[in-house]
Amino acid sequence: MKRKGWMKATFAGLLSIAALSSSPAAQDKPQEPTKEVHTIDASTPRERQIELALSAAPTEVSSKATVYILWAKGYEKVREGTNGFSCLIERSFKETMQVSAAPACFDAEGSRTLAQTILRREELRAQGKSEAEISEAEIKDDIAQGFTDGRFKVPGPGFLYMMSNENCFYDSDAKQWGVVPPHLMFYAPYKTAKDLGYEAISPTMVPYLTYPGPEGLIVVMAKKPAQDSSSGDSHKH
Amino acid sequence: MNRKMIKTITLRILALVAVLCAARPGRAADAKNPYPTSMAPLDQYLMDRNDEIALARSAAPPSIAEDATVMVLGRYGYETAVEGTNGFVCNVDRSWMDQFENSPEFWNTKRRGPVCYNPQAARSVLPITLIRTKLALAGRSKSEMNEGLKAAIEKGELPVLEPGGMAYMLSKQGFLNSKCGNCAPHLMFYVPVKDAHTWGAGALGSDAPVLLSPHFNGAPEPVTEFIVPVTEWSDGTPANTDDHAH
Repeated sequence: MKRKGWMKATFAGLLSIAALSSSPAAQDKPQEPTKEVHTIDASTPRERQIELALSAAPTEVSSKATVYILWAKGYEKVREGTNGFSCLIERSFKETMQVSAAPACFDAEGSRTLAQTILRREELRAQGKSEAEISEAEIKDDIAQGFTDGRFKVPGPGFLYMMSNENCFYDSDAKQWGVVPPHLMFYAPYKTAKDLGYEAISPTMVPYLTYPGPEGLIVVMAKKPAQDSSSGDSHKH
Repeated sequence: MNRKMIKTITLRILALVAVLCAARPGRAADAKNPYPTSMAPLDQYLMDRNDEIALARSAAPPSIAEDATVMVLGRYGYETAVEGTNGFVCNVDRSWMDQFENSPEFWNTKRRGPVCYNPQAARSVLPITLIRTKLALAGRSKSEMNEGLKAAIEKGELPVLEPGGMAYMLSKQGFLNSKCGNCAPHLMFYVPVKDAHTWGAGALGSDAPVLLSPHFNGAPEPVTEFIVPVTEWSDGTPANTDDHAH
């Protein structure tokens, strides 16, 4: 296997590179996010949402996956898959501002567990008259309560793909959008940095650990299949 | 002693020699497979204890390996040489960790695979190594080892796989096989076995983002092992971009 093109920096380093990948001029003049390009909501055309969701995994996987897209009441299943995977665009918010739009394809274990929390998040957001009317703190509390009362299940071993070239996040410090490099995330509920051999979470740790608690994930940067042309290579950043 | 009797004795000695040669451990089968087709004398798999400890530790960054438990191969199986404090366990795999089918190097005496398991994998994956090694050192053939493992699995002797289980294989000094030597630094992740193709993982040498290890995967261990190459060896030096993972 040729390893040319593999990521040569750490996860944190790559995020930094991504965040700073705009021109120097752009860095001098921080830009507000461009909604048309970076953010996703129920008004985003259906075909565009499907395209983005499928861009998270190799075609071999995404072509047989269940697909969810955003609509007025949360997520809508637009295709029933055959391989257990579920692809969607996961969003996150900081207060009222959308700060990420991350295409993700969960394996069967993740579809049964963590993906359900993502569906719930968007269901709650859709219950507000606008996204500003339900706070992220309320959503966080609901998800946490769901793990306690059994609505949500802690995942067993498995992983999800985040291989899209259009995995966008907003860097609030740099005040600009960046792209998270392709990566895999292995389910690691309740794991700590010590489980990976580190004293504490560090930006330079490889692999990286994110999200404490039942939604813990081990992040491993991955290369993009060279011949997979379907996976978001047409991004416009 | 007449000539007929001498001929008979000679033939019997030759036959006995042939049988003994066939049964001799480590005998090479033919020119196509230069590796032993059965277990070689145990000494050929053993290492100097301190060298093995150092090699095992080279699997992970020093910050992890220095506080890890280290197991070394002894005459009766792996034994704890260093008691660690961080829950990690490092050891040096031998050739019998290869898959049972299509594995000409299954008894290769040169094989040295340094690996450090995190706490979850140490509890739920390392036992595979210990069981395989126990069977190999008991003199079992490859097929007998396979059957022995199946029996162990049926008896529930393998722990349930834990989420978050992973292992470091970042040693520059290892020898994983004759095709790639120390191959490429990589991480390994474990999930319950299922149809391997549903994961979208590629075969070794493919261009897929995550590679499917040929080890285990239901034959017979109910574990799928994924390989994710990384760019640095445990000593922090960059890997050659042309290196292969296994």
